[in-house]
Amino acid sequence: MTSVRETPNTNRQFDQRTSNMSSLKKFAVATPRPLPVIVLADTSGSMGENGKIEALNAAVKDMVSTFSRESRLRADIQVGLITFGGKAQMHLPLVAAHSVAGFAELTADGVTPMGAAFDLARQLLEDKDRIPSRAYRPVLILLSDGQPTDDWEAPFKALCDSERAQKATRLALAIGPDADEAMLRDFANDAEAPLFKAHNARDIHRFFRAVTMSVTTRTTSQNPDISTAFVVPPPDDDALDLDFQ
Amino acid sequence: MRFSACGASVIGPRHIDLAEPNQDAMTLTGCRDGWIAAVADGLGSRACSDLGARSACQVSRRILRAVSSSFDLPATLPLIHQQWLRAIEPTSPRDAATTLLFGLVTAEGVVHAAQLGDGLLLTRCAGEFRRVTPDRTAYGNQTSALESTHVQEKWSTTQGRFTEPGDGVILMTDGVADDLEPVQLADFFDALYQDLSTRSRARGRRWLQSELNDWATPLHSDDKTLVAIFRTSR
Repeated sequence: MTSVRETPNTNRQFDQRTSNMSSLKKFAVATPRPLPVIVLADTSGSMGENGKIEALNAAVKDMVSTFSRESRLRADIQVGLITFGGKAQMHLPLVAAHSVAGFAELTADGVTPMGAAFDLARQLLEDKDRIPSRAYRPVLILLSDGQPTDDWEAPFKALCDSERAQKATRLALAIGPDADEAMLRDFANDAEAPLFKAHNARDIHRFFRAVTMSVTTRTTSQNPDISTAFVVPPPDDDALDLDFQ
Repeated sequence: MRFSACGASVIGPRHIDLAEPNQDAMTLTGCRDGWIAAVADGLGSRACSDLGARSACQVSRRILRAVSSSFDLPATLPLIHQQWLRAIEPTSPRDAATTLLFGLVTAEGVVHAAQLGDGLLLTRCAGEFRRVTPDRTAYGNQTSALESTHVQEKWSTTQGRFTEPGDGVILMTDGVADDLEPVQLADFFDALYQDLSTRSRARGRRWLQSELNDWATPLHSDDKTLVAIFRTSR
């Protein structure tokens, strides 16, 4: 079950603020500039093998938890989670990381409707109510372990051609040997972060740690709209992890 | 005709934390009983954006000071770009890229104003408020700027006449503009007029600096610059 902490009524908050403020402060927007991070996660049946979905659950939770701690510095990091396994859906709506109390475990089931997930991502990125024009450049992360099973080309083109959605930074993670690397490579558009290949569960964690570090570094950098170095931490030599088959 | 003119530029918390200079610049100067104003916001990712922003304001002031009564605003834009390129030498235009908003108000209350890139340009002429800045199509900080090539179509321009008290022009960088409630811009314009028209320029500047330093938006971080010129008498 997705759980988002309650936030106070914005209008009431605004009225209270304006009643006893000097003249210009009451015109200032009451919310920080958001930095949206949207994960497009393959949750098709094959993700249930070799501990992939478990690793993904743990890695995404770690990322949200770190964002929650870090996001009060210079930007409001928001997280949204779109899953595509059987059907594409908004698993976690785009909300401030610090307001995410938890979300339902991802489960692996069904086919891989990646095209439908692209449509959901594009609709979200184009929606000025959900991502205002004052937002920092969003980050879109695609991870998959297989071939799309729907017509993904047209939705992918629409995402890349959309005046607004194309401005997002796109990162990609290929999980295991069956991932469609050519498509994932086309998806990634950040020169700092070429396609990363996860050979085992550890690599999924390493990728998400790099995403976390890159985004949190952005919030404190001179210009949060510029991509920062994407450095995947070295593997932990002590850990024993079997490669995905 | 009397005017109230005031401006302030404050360094944002992010640049204070990073010990970086203010990458905004402004100029406000009287000219033949009228006023000239400019604000610029150097692109944060560029090495010499503070130089670019300062030069853009200085070049605007120099060119606008020299104009005659038959001022041709569209013809002035490439001239500003050309002289800005000269002013930043030997720095490359890429390293000095900056937004620019400027306004010229004549003694007769005729206003000419233009904008390239992020920020907000607001006017009120004959009592009618107008947001000259077009809606942003993407996200923050993805902006047009003075750079190596002049593209006339990327500029927004306006011309009008101040016919009554409260008419005026406000120029601001995106550190202020992005944190203003969009539906309240006309009220913001009027509130600024009410506040500044009752203060001397020095007091107005101190008040404006304090307002910008103590900005109400949570986690605000950017440099903030605002210049306003209002007609105050009939």
